[in-house]
Amino acid sequence: MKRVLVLCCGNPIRGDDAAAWKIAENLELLFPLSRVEIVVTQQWLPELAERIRLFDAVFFIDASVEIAPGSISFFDIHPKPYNPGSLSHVLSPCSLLGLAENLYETKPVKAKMLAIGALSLRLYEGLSDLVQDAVPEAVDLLRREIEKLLLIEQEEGDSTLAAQATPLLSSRTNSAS
Amino acid sequence: MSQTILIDPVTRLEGHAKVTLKASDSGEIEEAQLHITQIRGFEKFSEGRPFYEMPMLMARICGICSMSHLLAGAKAAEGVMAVKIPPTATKLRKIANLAQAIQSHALSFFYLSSPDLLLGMDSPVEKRHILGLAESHPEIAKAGIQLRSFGQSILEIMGSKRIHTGWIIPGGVTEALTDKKRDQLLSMILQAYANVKAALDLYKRIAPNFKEEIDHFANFPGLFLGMVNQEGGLELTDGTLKLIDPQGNILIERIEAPDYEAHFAEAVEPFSYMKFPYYRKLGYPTGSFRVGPLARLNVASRIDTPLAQAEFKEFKQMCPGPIFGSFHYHHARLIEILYGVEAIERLLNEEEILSTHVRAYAGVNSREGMGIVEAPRGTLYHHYTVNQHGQIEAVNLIVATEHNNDALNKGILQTAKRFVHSNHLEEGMLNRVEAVIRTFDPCLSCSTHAFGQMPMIIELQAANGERLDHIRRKP
Repeated sequence: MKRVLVLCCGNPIRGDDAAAWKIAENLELLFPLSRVEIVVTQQWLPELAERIRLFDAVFFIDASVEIAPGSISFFDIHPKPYNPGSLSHVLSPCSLLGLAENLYETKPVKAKMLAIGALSLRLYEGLSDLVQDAVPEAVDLLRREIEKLLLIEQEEGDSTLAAQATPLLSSRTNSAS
Repeated sequence: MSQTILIDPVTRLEGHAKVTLKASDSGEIEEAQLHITQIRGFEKFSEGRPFYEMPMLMARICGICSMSHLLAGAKAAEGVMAVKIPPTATKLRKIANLAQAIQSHALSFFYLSSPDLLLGMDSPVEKRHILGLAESHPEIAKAGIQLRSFGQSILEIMGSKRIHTGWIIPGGVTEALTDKKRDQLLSMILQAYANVKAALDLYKRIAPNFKEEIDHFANFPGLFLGMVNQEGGLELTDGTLKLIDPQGNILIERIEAPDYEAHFAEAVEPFSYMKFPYYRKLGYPTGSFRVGPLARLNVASRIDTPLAQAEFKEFKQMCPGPIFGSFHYHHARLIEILYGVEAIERLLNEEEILSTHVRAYAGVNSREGMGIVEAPRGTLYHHYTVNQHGQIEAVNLIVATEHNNDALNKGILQTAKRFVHSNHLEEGMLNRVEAVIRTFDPCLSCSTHAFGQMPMIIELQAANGERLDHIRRKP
């Protein structure tokens, strides 16, 4: 059965950097573990490439200082070669996809990034009001996207079962006649 | 005129450091210093905390070898409690410690050092990292990533978190291992064997290409300290300490945690925040010693798992007594990974591993407690003193990398003398100085790594501070 991987990155004691963790908590209540795997981590690491190779769809979630605080950006991403200027703390989702493709010759059918604009990343626990208010919308966006994928898989699975069942029915009909 | 060369920061290490090389008028390197530029303060801010919090607090010293601090802290707390933990808890903690060693050694060998070994010490800096390795040697990069993931997965399955788990506590562990989790762990073993065997085969093929580095990377006689079991075999969790001299003679053995400070002390140098432990009887610096994988294989008489024992016998054929060249830390690390995989498999297959008796309970029964464990990088010691309420009054931590401090400085000097020519600086010279540091796999307690191009400047300065030459690595 195809599965969905959700990778949530952030530091839970650095203010709005915990946004992805909050989103993860909400998603865990919505989907069974057998269909959707949710990983929370403090940074993107090369070991995640080993997880990525096992899934058909991957969603990356992280706080961002490059968009307006409280805003959400949800977009497709694609594998790309590593950036020689990267620090390991900011290994990008695209580089991770590239690493998975390089090592395992596999890439997810769908890969998307959900960035949530951070107001403050200073040392404290808790989200700013802007980000707290944006979390339900982010969860909803992801929920709809994941449900669509799971539905497609369900339909494909049903079609496959139907196709496998037909010859059996035919042979029974033939033998009866 | 005399010159000073500064390498700041050092890359592909855990932590922050810089190196100063001082050259004579003729350009020969005469002096080297490794400066550890961090102050963490753990010993101080722990004062007043309840002793049972210490393992969790101390685990936060590091994100790579946090399990070592968790274990040493738990043992020291158990000294305050004056308890012996249940046998199953001992075995479960052994598995966790071995898993941590595997993932840490995998990080050190595959991520930090193998780019030099496989791509070359003089290869372009923008390719000389794990992602560059993924392009040129995908199978080895995969093996490294999978081994690191294997070790981390064990910690996550057993302790719910890959780092800073709350599962290990004073008295044992919080929960027993289920048969489902045990089977999940066993299912990963075969791939781990394949990966470490591939790495060992590769290393043995390529190591002869590095004769110059083998001869000049911290290759000098010295003392070696490590933990052994009752039969003198390799042990990382519950053993006693053994110290040997350059000829392999035993100086002291069967040293337990409460005896540590009777035999070892710390010296201070003005150029670094990291201290210099030494064997008291021989004084400083004569009593300086090395710890870690090479030291452990030097002090051990055998390894109790068959595949690692075979590798150990082959390793020891290099010379009749202790092996001095620090380049061989890489080989020793791989042998320890193999031992770890075998030992984990054996422990998981023991019936007792599923017992639910995993914790002992007690309050304050002693005003101090000490704990020793072998971290991936070497011997780690925690000592807590408490008041009658169990609040911490004093903490003394002597961490693994600290034990190697003197050897690190000597090693840098030896390497710089051979490879650095101060009248003409090249990037490969810089990398070799860094590479000798990486053989020790120091954990300088705050994780900072760069893939290939951390901004760096090497400056060649005249005695009056005038800049004569420089190399700049752009971000």
